[in-house]
Amino acid sequence: MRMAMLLSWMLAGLLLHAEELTQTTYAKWRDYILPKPQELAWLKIPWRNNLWEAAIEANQRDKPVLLWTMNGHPLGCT
Amino acid sequence: MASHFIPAADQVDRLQRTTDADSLFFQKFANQGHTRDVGVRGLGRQGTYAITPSGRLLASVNSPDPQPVVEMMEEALRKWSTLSKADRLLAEPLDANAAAQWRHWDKKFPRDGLILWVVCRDLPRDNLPDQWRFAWGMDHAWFRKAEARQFLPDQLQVGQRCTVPRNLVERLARFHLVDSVRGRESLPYPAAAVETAELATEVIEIQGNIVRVRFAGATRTLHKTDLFEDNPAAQTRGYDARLRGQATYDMARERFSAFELVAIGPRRGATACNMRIQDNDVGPAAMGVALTLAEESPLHQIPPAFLSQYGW
Repeated sequence: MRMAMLLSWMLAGLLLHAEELTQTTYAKWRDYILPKPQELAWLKIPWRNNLWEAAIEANQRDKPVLLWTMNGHPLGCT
Repeated sequence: MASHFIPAADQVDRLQRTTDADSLFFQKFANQGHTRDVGVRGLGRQGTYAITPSGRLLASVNSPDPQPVVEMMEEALRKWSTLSKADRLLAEPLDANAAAQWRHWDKKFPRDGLILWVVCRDLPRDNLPDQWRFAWGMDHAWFRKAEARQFLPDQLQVGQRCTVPRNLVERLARFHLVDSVRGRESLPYPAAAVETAELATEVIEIQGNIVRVRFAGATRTLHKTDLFEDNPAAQTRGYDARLRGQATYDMARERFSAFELVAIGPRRGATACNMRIQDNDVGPAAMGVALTLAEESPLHQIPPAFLSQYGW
């Protein structure tokens, strides 16, 4: 999977390498920059965007909280 | 396994140092986990924690690899199964209204404005290290309703053009066209670092209430920091970007229904947290930033990293 991603990336890179950013080419660059579906798998998890609300909900539903925390919000800039 | 938990993401640099109720709640269990020997202002509280709603730590780990996190979650569920209801849960639930004391940014969220998802990535080059080949960073950019409207000409007619006000383009240049590919850009550009901030809009099509526009512009930032005194190439940071894009505006809803702006150009320099200095990858090297309309979701209601610098 990782090798396939690497190869497709390299091919996209080769194709784009010489292309300038114009009104015609910007969409290709956009597609290169934006994350691919496999890079967004983590967003399929139904993250609550703060600990406090998650703890309140977990208390109501009798479930543990799984907290992912980083310098900068993990759902924003880290 | 995730379905056995209530998953949450939150910002540790606030949780580990303030005295807000949620921070104190965090500190109590974090002090029992993998970061228990780290001082309050240390950077070591990052990680993944499994806790009971009562604030009892079940397990924790700090790892980018999935296997240690899976093992932590399994350990947490084993411990959870041994606890009584009285130990797992709070008899008196946490006060939902308390969050208003610290979530002050919620009041600034521009619900009827323009919320952009900002993604940055290194562009293809021969010497990209394997470790960072797939790296990308993200943030959000906020514009209030009246500001969003200034991305368009006053008169919405085909062929009409306008210059987007410099203060809005500067917001992009200073806070969002930044190098967060490998790690958070910890330093915004000061206003004086913005040498160029230009964005022009042209109306290219109107169908009913739907207006389609295209953007063209450029930004250039250049900033000499006092970091890395022994590495002048790292000290001077900047981004020299060409901008192109398109957007669709709904005149009836008075909102953008689509927005795409792409920036391409060489970035240079390094800052403390953006992980460039470690292998001296200080450029100049090409970087791309894509700004697109964010989906309406709690996942995209996170404030911009530099919201405090907006002047709101």
